[in-house]
Amino acid sequence: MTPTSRSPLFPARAVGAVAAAGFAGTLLRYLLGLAFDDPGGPLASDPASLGWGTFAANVLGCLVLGLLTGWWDAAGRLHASGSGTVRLAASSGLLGSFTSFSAVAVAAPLSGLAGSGDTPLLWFFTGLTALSCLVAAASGLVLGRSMEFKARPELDHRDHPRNEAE
Amino acid sequence: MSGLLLALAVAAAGSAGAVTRVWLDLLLQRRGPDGVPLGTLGANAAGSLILGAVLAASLASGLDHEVQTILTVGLCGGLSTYSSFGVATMKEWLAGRYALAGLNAIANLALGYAAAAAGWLAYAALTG
Repeated sequence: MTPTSRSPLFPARAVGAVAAAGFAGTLLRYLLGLAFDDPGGPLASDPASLGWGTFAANVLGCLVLGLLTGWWDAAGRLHASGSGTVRLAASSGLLGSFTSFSAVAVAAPLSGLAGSGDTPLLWFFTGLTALSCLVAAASGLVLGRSMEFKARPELDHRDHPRNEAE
Repeated sequence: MSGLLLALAVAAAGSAGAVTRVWLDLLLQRRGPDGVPLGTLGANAAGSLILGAVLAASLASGLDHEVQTILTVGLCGGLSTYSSFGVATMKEWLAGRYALAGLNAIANLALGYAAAAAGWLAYAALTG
């Protein structure tokens, strides 16, 4: 065996963890689609056949990843990064696959090219998804951060102007 | 194909997509401007490109519905991501770096549209 000076970019253990998490995340999104009775294709022609299961997965996934990221960022100075594989599998693996960009983001222009589906409705759905997901991500980040700072006030160096105001 | 088998095939395709996306993330982690993760951008563009081609194929030649589901919901869905994109964008926004947040959002959406159209047109061109 040749000793290597650099650790591999994507160690086998991390590949396995991400593969398992990606399997679970995709399966959950697919099942949510079935529960919402999502149609097969993304080129919907009426509001009821839009991909509401994927919409729910995207908003929920953005909220939870925001929570985790806010929490980990705030706690980062205290906790060592020994759990890097777990974090990678939970964030990029599970939540990354639970949410999906391709179907919602590109349905509108494809609908225009294909001459199939309701293009203005799909633009509206794309915009609604972007707005809801970004609001969910920001709410998660703020909540996750404040949860960690509430648990460990000593970590909070955000805005302490040394109480000069008295 | 039974419902269970289809669900497992969709999940397996998503698993392959996720591994590819994370590999891209790790490979491109330190490239590009701060706040615009190129791995996520590349994975979203690649997912959109494949989706465009698959939808063109399914409308043109009636691609098998189960194959279409495995490729779109599984592969493209696992390869592309909304959460990493959304959280990276809003981290910049909350830090007051509005221009970077806007750049990341516009880059993902615009490149996604362009890639989807390219996938669609490439299928049309290749099949005459």
